[in-house]
Amino acid sequence: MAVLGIESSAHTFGVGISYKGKILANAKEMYKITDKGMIPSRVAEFHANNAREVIQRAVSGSGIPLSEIEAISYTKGPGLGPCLRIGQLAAMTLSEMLSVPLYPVNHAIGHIQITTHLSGFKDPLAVYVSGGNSQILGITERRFRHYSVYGETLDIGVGNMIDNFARAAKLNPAWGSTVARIAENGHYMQMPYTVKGMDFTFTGLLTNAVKALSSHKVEDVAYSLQETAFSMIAEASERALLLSGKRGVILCGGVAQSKRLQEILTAMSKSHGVGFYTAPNEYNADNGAMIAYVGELMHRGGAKPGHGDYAVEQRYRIDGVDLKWL
Amino acid sequence: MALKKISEGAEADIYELELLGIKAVMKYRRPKPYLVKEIEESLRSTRTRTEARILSKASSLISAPKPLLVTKYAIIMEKLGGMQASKKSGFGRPSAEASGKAMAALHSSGIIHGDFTTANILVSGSTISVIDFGLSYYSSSVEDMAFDVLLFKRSVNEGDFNAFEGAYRNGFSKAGEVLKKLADIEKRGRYQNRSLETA
Repeated sequence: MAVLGIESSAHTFGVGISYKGKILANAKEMYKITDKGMIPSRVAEFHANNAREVIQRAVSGSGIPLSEIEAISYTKGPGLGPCLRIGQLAAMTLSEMLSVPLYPVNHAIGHIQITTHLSGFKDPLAVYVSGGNSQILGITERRFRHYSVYGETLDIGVGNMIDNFARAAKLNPAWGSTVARIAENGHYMQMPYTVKGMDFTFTGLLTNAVKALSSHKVEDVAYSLQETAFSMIAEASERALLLSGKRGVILCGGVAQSKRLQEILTAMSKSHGVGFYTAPNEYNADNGAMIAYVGELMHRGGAKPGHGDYAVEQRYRIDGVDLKWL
Repeated sequence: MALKKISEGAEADIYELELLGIKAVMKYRRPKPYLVKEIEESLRSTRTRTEARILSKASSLISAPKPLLVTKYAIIMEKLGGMQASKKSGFGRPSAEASGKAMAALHSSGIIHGDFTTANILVSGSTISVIDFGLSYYSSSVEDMAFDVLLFKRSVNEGDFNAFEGAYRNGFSKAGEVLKKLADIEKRGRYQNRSLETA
């Protein structure tokens, strides 16, 4: 008996299957981003067209027949409304069809929980960096058990910031790995560095970098942008690590695939004698497996979603989620 | 001089020592070898310089450690007596009022503390001292001041905050504007669920 989870918060439609914490399938199909970025309705259409095939691929790959799925989970948010609704609809249909319970999952908890699970750390500090999100979190028991946000971006996510820069610099494909490749030969120039306690902001850095493109070599700008952004995240994480007293650091979310960010946070963690872990790329990119995994935790932990809990929520905050099932 | 490490902070270590017979503490900003040299250098030396400058001004306004000796990455300052308010059970109205008065004095001179929580307030009898200006900066922005007040508000109970607020209003001419901004900030979605777990 296993749990099937569906992820559709942004460009990826993913379906995973989890059984006793083991990932039996992690199928996905990703919308190809053009120079226009993501148009939510187009991406939703893409998901709708691919849903059936990706679900079938996950099920047949897992070796578990659909009839043995004991619960379904899906991403409730945060994410793009039209995209979330496709995943929700697919999940609701499956749950009706199989007469099994349905669990709405917070996307960020998906990334953090699967990474924590794979790391083997007991109660780590989580650095969650993706397109739309950049947060430093840890579980606390105050008032109720939940992820408390120690620090976060006060404007845009680090991934979107880097993608925006890549488009302004006319890089192709316009995303983080291209910026990282260009940055390899760059030299440092000063850029705005804004950390307020454990929070940080990226728009000033982005504006400055885009302006600098007209008068500086693109590799220097790319290098400095990346170093500055990652340093800010590392400094805020270090402060959160010392204040929270956590004994491990995990890095997750799309931007966690950055080798440079991994290197910086590994060194930071090591300097305080704590372990560092990031998952293989298939779990840092959006995926269904993490939603299936959290769905299984909720199912086994006795989560009882109420009638009003099933609606998708574009801005579904992680710190409001009660983890009593964990 | 004999150094004794007494605490390890997020970016600096604190040592206790004696300088010409005066009890002093040294705040040393540790290297951050994981950052590129230029960023590391600017974080360590620029922040040390700024902190020293603000400390010398702040210690003339309120009870705050006077800097005695400043090097590139370290500040040796006088050691103040008292107990961290966060370690006491309950803060108390007189301390809250004194804190409001102290913040009013800092803001009147354009100093934003940056981390004004009970962990950075030393209480000794009926007087208080403010320490750790590591995140301080100069600003005349009402929003920056409001964030200062917000941090304090999150670290004390309602009654203590009311006492603080009264004293802050009396001591600072733009307090009304700041407190209005604070109400705006608290309405922003991003901050509604944020609780200060570590204070």
